Amino acid sequence: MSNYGTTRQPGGGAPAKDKTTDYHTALFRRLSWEGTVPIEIRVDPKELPANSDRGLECYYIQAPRVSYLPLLLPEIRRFLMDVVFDEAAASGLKEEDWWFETEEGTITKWHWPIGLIFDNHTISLSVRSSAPVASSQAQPLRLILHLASPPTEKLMLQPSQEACKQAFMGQLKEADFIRWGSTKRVTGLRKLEQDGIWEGIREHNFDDYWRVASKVTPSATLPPPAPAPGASAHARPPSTDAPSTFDRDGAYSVRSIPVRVYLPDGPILQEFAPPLLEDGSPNTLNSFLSTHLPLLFPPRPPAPPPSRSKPNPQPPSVPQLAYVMIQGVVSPSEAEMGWLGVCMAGADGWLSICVGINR
Amino acid sequence: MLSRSDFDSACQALACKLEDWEWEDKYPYGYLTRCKNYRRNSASIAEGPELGEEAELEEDEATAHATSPGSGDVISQQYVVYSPGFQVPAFYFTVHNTNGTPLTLDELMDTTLFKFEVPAGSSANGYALSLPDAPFPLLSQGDHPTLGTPCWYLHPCETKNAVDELCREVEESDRTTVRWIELWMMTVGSVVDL
Repeated sequence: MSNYGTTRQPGGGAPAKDKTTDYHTALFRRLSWEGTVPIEIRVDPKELPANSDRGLECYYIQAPRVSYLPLLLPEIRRFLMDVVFDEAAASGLKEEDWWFETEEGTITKWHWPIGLIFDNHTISLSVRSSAPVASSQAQPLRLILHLASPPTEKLMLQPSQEACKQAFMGQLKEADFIRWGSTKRVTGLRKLEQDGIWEGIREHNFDDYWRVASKVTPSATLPPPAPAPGASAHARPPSTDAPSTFDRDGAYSVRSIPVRVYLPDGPILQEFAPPLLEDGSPNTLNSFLSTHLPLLFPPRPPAPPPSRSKPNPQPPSVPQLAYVMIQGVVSPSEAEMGWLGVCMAGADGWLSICVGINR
Repeated sequence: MLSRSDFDSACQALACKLEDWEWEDKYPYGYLTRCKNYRRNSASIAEGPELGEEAELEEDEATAHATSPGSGDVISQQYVVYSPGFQVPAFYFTVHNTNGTPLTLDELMDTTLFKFEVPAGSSANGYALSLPDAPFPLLSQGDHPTLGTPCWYLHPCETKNAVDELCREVEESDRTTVRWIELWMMTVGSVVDL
C-alpha cells in the first residue's frame, strides 16, 4: 500500500499542488527554524586550567532553537582554546567530560533542543522568583560549563555528536510512529536523506532540512468541515484551496500529534492527542490541556441557556491560571493541535508545550 | 496495544503476584520497580580508586548474599513503565558498581544481566546497542518517563511483535492484560535476565 502518492517525488522534482506548502505554513516553519536564543557560557572559575586568561572566560552565542548543545561544543572549545586556555594546561581536557548546568543548579540535557532548554528555564525562573513574567528583552540563558566529573546520576548521554544524532533520529522515528502507526516514512528514506536531515540541523540550513523533512511531515491541510459552522474558522490559516479530497498525509489524518507537555521544574506529560475530537471538531490546545491538566486549565463550562434578559449568553469566564509557550511564543488556547503539530513542532517532529504559571 | 489505565491496573495486580516488584504511584505516571543484583562475567576485581572506597563500604542489606567488596557484584534498579508513544510496556534500568559508579555499555553487556546473543553486524558504540537493519537500537539511553533520570532501556517496538505472537498461543479466555504483561516480561527475559 503506498501512502506516498503525489507528495513524494523521487529526486525532489516539481512539487505537486498540495505539496506547495501554503504561505502561512512556510512562514511559521521558517519562523520556528530561524528562532534563536541568547546563551551566555561561563567556565566554572574553579575549574579553569592553570594560566587561563581569567576575565575572558565568558562566551556568548545566539543559538538556533532547533539545535543542540553538543553541536555548539566545537565552537565553544575553539574559543576557549584560542582565547582563554593555556595550551599546555588545557591539553589534558577531555570534551566527553564536559557538561553544563544553569545558575540554579539544573543540569542541562544534551538531547533537548536548545529552544526547549531555554523556554523551560525561563518559565522555571519566572515561577521561582517574584519578578514579573517575561520582560520584552529576552534574558540570556546563563550556563556554567564544567570541564570534568559529569554527574552520571543525572546525565548519562555523552556529548558526542553521534549520540546526539542517534537520539534525534529516535525522536523523529517515534514521532512518525505516533502519527501513522509505523515508522516507514522515516525508515523509508534513503540513508543519504536521513543523514541529510541531521546535516540540515548541524549546518542550520532550512532548505536542506525541509527538502527531506517535507517527505515525512504531514501537510498542513485544512480539517474536514466542522459540524458547527464557523466554530473554528477564525483559528485556521487562510488558504485558497478548498479541501476537495481527503488528504491521507494531511495534518488532520494523523492518529495523534507527537506532543509533550513540560511543567515548570516538573514532570513531562506525554498523552494521546488526536487532531479531531469525537464530535469531529478540531482538537485545540484548550481541549487538550483541560483534559490532561484540568486544575491548571479548567474546562470552560457551557453558556447558560438564553433568557429574555440575556438572549445571547456567553459561557462564564474561567481563571487564566496558566499559559502555554511554544517555540518561545505564548500561544492562544484556540490554536489547533493538528496545525501546531505541522507548523510549530521542533525539528525532531515533536510539539513541545511549555506550561507557565500566571501571577 | 494497551491503554495506560489497563497498564496501571494490570501492573498493580502483578505487584501483588510477584514479590520482588513494587508499584510506585508517582505523579504523573506510575510504574513497577525493583532492585536486583547481578555479577560481572569476567569476575575481575575492580581496579584503581574504587578498591580503596570499597574496603570502607559497609555491607549493604540489599546485597545480603554476603559477597566481599570488589567481587564483581553489580546492582540494577529496574522499572516497568508505560510507553505512551508505542502504547506498550517498556523496560528501563540502571546498573551500578557497589561503589555507585554506573557501568558503561560494554561493562553492562559483560554481566549476568545481559543474556542476549548479539548477532553479527550489530554495533555497540558506547551509548546504544543496535541490531543490523533495525529502525531503533535494541538498547539505548533515555530518561525515565516519571523520574527524569537517565536509564538504559529496551526499545519497546522490538518486543511488541514478539509478544503478539506469543499471545496467539494463549487461550482466548486467558488473554487478559495481566497475561499480556507476563508474556511481555518473558520476551524481555530473552534479552535481560529477569
